[in-house]
Amino acid sequence: MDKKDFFAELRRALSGLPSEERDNVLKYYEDYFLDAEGESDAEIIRGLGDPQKIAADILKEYRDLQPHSWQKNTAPPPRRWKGISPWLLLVLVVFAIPIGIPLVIGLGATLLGILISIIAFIVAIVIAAFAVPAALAITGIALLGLSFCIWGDPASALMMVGGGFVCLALGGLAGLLLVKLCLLFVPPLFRWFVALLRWPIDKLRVAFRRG
Amino acid sequence: MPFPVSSSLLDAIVLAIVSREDTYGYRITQDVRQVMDISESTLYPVLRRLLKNGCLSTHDQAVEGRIRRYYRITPLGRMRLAEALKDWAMYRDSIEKVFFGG
Repeated sequence: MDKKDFFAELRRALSGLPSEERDNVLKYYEDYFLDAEGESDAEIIRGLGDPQKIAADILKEYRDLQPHSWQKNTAPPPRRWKGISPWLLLVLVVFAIPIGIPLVIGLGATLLGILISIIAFIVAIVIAAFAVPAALAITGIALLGLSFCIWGDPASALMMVGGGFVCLALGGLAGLLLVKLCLLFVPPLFRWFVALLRWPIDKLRVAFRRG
Repeated sequence: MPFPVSSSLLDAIVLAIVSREDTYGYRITQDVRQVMDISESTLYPVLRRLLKNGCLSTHDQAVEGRIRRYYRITPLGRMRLAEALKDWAMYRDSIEKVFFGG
């Protein structure tokens, strides 16, 4: 047997392997022949042994899907899919669409309605909150103006001026209080609102990542 | 060598040889045969197994007007080698305790 026969036989004996695996084996032995410079081809072939035996060992190793040597302390057995398979899930989802879509629309509309009413409620409160100091301030200014216009009775005019100042001061205080309250409550409220919106989305995301 | 060679010992020996420097199939075979009696064709399945385990990687390099395939140890291979050296030391100590008393 010469080198050509050796490779022909090896190639034939490895025909069961994927071509990439087979090419790797052939490359290895081609290198081997070229690197064994001191030896003749016949000596190399004698040392390597029967190509059938070489191929049988490689095929056996290939078939042992689990590489055994490090198996015990390292690689855990491949995780099996737990729960329902993704394909079954897909089929279930497809079948659920006729029921699911109206349900989702109804649910969505309800949620949207609730959301809008909440926003409207908040807007109303804000407007009311701004309206009180604004009204007080406007009343104060109006009373001041009026007291100058109706200058008939100095006493009543002075009283009106006083009332105007009181209203203006109350308006200013109420405004300051409002600003303070806004600073205190709006950011956490806003955060809470965002968290409320994000909660179902996060749940979905976690569920998808697990799937 | 009168004692049978386990595949894990052979794996560790190959890792130790490749860990010194990147090297190629024929050289590895000769180096292993310095210390144990294996046939010249034993090594390919070992190298393939270590490649599949991610303990070794290959790269082709031009040498003397041709391409030779070199083997290189990976970080995972170094970890495995370190484990094997520890296991070997424990194994050797316990065997020697029985053989020579301790």
